Formats: sequence, structure tokens, C-alpha cells
Amino acid sequence: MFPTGLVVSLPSREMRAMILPGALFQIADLAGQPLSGTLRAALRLLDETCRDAGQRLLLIARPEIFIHGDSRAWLMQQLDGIGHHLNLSDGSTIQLVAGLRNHLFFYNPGLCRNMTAFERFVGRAPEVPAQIGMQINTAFTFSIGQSLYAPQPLLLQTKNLFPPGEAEYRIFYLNPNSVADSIARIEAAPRITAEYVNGFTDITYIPFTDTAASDASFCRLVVKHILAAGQLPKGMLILGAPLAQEKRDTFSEMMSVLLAGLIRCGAVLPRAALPNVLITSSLLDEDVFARADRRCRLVMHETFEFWRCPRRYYERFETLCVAGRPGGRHDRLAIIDLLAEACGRVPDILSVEEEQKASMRRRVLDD
Amino acid sequence: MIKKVRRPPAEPAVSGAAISIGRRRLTLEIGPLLESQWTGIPVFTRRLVESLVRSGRVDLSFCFNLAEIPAPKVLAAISQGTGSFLRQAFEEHAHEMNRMVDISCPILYPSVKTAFGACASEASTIHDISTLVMPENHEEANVAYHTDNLRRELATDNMVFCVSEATKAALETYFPSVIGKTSILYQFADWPEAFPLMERNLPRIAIGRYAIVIGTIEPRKNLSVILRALALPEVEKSDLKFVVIGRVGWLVDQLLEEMTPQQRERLIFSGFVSEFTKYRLIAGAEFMVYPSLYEGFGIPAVEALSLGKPVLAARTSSFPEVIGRAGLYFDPLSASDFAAALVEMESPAKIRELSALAEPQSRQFGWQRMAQPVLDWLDES
Repeated sequence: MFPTGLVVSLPSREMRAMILPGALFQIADLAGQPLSGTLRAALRLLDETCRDAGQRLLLIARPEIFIHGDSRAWLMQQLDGIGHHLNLSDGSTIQLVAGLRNHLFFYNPGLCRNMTAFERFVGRAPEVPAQIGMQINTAFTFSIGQSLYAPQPLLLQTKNLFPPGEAEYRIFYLNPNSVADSIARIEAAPRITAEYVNGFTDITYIPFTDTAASDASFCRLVVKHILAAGQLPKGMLILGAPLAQEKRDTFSEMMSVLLAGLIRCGAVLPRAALPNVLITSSLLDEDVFARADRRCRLVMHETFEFWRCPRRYYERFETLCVAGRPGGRHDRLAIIDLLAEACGRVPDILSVEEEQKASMRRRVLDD
Repeated sequence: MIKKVRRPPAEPAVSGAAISIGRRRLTLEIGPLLESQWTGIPVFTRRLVESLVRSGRVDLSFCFNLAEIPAPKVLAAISQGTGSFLRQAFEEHAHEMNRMVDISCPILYPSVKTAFGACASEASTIHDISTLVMPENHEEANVAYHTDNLRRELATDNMVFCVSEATKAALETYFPSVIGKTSILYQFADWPEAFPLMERNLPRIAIGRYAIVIGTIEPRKNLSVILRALALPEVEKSDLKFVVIGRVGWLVDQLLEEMTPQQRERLIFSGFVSEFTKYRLIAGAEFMVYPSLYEGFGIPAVEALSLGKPVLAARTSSFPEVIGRAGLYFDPLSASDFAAALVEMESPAKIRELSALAEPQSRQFGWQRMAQPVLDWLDES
């Protein structure tokens, strides 16, 4: 994959709080550094990949400063023949190292500000994506003038769910007039145990991302699932709060993101605690979906970090569904291929805008 | 009654002569000179004007946003060293005095281009692309100002001047379409002739041993590497202080608030100072420390070299190109590497060795070298 070894550049915004031993360092030097969960997962994935392939992995902070002359010569000497550079981008910029084969891992499109920054960057510097050899876990297309350019998508997927750990459950309650009141009542309610979930045989799991919560079409789709969940006595809908981005992020704050998205989308939900709907704090472990008597369904937003779950995780679900907006940056066929490889089968692709239109048509016919 | 407004006659070109054979015409956008305090790009612009005037080969006119500004007013501002009066005159009398530039004349922007494709031939100047490659070190408005129209700027340029080879390499990496139309526009250090005499008549600065650090205090200047190194034994035991010249910029409040009393003893912040005070502080320093993560050129380094002071600089961007062998380099993200280089630099033998190389290195950069690429471009236009 990276036959001459790989140097990985880190996103500068996250590095601001880090104290590094130097511009070049090993992955072990990041132990104890304040990294976001997603960045840590991405680094772990790259470490796994390189170790499995027996390839060298080196990390670099700020490759942009070694651009010319002696500073560049010094960098090349330190790299000692490494020929591939992978930029772990948070969207605010894409780093290139001249003379190496450059690749991109936009590791967290699920964070709204990253997606916005990424769009802004490629608008400002459209010649950069054309220099990207491979894109890890995305299937974006870019335009330069009249031409389209799509770096080669490459799937890298974890072997074990990350982060592991027990998810907490909360009731779902939405006061459309106040996120704060909703959170206060959710937090005041008795805790839900995993045993409670065991009583249900028909589970739909919708892990949110920050970007998904700001996608009104997706939120309206989720509202439909919430309303439908109440109709099935053995049906349970589990909404995954967006994963914490910073160490200081709390479950309450992440639930707020989810609830605010549902309020903003304008759909009406009963102002009541719904027994068949729960919110969970982190990615659910595959064991939750492993019971033979369960029918499980996974609905992902297109920005869900699918690479954080191993392929066997997806095998637990009877139905896999990816909801996204047509005409987004992803090449539709390429992302389906990528997801099919990650999930072990082709997931249903649900265009949320089409879903909305279909729903409107049905309503008109019903009327 | 209609009041007749008398339009003043067109100001002569800087040379004062009519367009002569062999001389090229050029309009220079002098927006940066409208600032009150001149540092960075306004000083670059001032040096560019002076270099072109000294070359005697250009008929210069000046403009701001395509409105011509009379040359005597610009030259007066240059002799005053501030753009306050120039800006006031421009704003108050724009409606009655200003004319549109001659769009058939080539135009050169010493910084961000403001009008695209308006003139027959256009050139702009790229100082660095830090707003694009390290936006987290800038305020969003500044990032937008420098990058939102960069594509258009480059697309409509016939020539793109870069202030160093490093900036050229960075620009060509991120915008390969500019390859073939870039040129290097080095600036130079110039001190008023009276400064050495004025300095001689004053007592020595009573700070003790110190190194000088120059630049607006902001994250890209990387003062944190000095702060971290101060905790290391080899730096802690030294009596060397660091005098930091420059106003407090952006995104550094936390850094300054968290400084310990020990760090405050070793770091002295002068704030913004006059050119003469800066000259005195450099002249009194043992050497310069330039820890920036990224610079387009790094004129303070050349200023220090011109006064015989070697530079302990980050091994980044343009520094090796500008400082050459008259300095020592360190990894800007490694406090221990900085500390090791600092210890080496503090040795009297090393300072003597490097000081001898400093002034000759600064002479690599002069007004002729600054003017020449512009003249070459005009010859080709």
C-alpha cells in the first residue's frame, strides 16, 4: 500500500494543545496528548495498517514549513526514503509535501465545522485535490474549472470497534421549545440499563454525527423512525449521540447537538418520554446486535465514520441503510463500492431528499 | 449656482520628467502605505517604491483601489514614515482630486490584489501562504481576506512576485498553474544614515546580556518554544534574557497569562517601538532569536545581520535561504533542540565566527536586487 513507508501529518488545529518532542516523532509520543477520539481512532487505524504490512510509520507536525532548500533537505534526510505522505486533515487545510506521493484522510467529516472548512478550502485552493493520489475512506470528487478529479478511494477499516467501552443509555424526551429543559429532564430520569434493551427484538440503531444533526432532511427521516418506533411493541429505536470531539465534551452536550437538530428540522414529536426510543452515549458494541432472535437495522448518515467499526460489526445487521444527500461531494458509485467493501455487502442507499419527496407524494395521494 | 470644481493638473511621474525613451511606466498600488504604523508589508512597499525610484528606469504612478494618488503626496508620506496624512488626504479629497489610473499601464500590487483583470498587465506579490496552510494561526477574517480571492488574483496576474524562494516553492506546490510566471522579489534592510551617530551618543542599554526577538506576538511566531526551553536546565542556568519587540497580536492571551514569574524575568516585552529604538535594541543584543514556525521572508533577520548580529533561527520556510551561514538552526517544535542550539550560540567563539558572516550575508539583499525583477517584468510586458 505504502511500500516505502508512510509519513503522516497531523491536523494543526488539534496540535495546538499538544507538546511534541519535535517536528518528526513516533506514534508512541502521542500517549497522553489531548487528541480527539476520532483522531486517536484514525491514528490507531494507520498504526495497525502499517504494522500489519510491515511498513514504517512516522508522524510529522507542520510539513508545510519544510518547503524549500535546507529545511526541505533536512526533512528528506529525516524521512530516509519514505515516499508516501498522508495528511490527516480536519478540513481546514490539506497539507502537501512536494516530492512525495500525497494522500488524504479527511478523518472527521461528521463534524459540521470540519465539513464547512473543507468545502471552503477546496474552493480556495482547487488545485490541491488534483495532487492527491489516494483518499482514505472517502470518495470525493473535485472540480478544477471544467474538469472533474477523483483521487483513488482506499478503504482502511479497523479490526476492532474503537472506542470500546460500555455505552450509557438515556430516555428520549424532547421539549421543542428548549433543549436545556429536554436535557434536564432526560438527566433527571432513572437510568436505563442494558437489560431494558434486552426486552426488545426489533432494533433500529441510528448513530448521529454533528453534521447529520445539522442535516434537516436526515433529521426529518429520523423523526419518522421515532414516530414509527412507538407502533411496534417489540421495536426499539436507539439514537447514538454524536461522538465527543474533545475530552471536555460531555454526554449532555452531545445529546444537545442531537436534540437541537431534531428541533431545527421543524418536525413535530410528542412531548412525552417514549418507551421505545433511547439515546446512547457511544458506539454500541456489536454484542448488542448479536442475539439470534433480534432483527437489527442500522441507519447511517453519509458522514458516519464507518471505518471505526470492523466488517463483522455490520454483519450483525439485517438491514444496512446509508442516508445522504444526492449531489454532495461523494461520487455515488464510488462511495457505494467503498461502503460495500466496508460492510461486506451493498447497503441500501437512501437519498433523504428523495425520501422527502416520496413522503410528500404519499401525503398528496392520501389526501 | 453651479460651483465649478477645479480639477488639479495631473501630478508628474516621480521622476518629474515626461515619459522618456527607455523608461517603463508602472502603476504601484500603495494601499499598505495608508496605514499609520509601518511594519511588515507597508515597509516592504516603501522599500519597493524607493528601489524603483533609485533605479531611474521607471515612470512610477501610484494608486489605491484604481484611484491615482499624486506622487508628491506618496513621497511625502515616505519621508514622514507614516501613512496617516496620506490616508486623511485621500479620504477627504477623493471626490475632487483623484483620477482613475491609466489601465493601459502595468500595475503592481505589493500585497493582496484588490481589482482583477482591470489593467492591461498585472502583477501581485505573495508574501507567504500561511493563511492557507496554517489557518488556525490566524483570525478567520484575515484568512478570508488573504485566501478568498487568491485564485482569481493568480489567474489574472501576468507575473506573480514571491518574496523568497520558499514562498515561491509553497505557492507553486499549492497552485501549480502559476509555474512559469513567478519571480523572486527580495527586500532588504535599510536604516536611516543618522542612526549610528545617534546611537553612539547614548548610553548602553542596561538590560544585561540579551537576545533580541522581533515580530508581532502571535502563534506563528512560536514564542512557546522559548518558554518551554526556559524550564530546561541548560537554559535555566544561563543569564541571557530575551527582549521581544512587537505588539501583542492575536490568539496568544492564554500563552501570556500562563507565563510563570521565572519566565517573566527572562522575557522582556517592549511592545511596539520606533525604528530607532528597534535599531538600538538590535545593536545591543548578542544575537537574534527567530523561532517562527513560518515566514515568507523574515526581514528582521536581515536587519539583525546588517548590524552584524547572527541569528538563531527555526529551520523552516525562508530562514536558511535568508540567513545562510550566518546563523544556527533548530527544529521549531523541539524545545530541547532549541536549547542545544542556544547553548552553542552563546559560546563567544561561535558568536565571533557567525558575526563575521552576518553583515556580508545582509548585503546579498539590496535595492538593486529588489528593483531588478520588476524591471525585467516591465521589459517583457
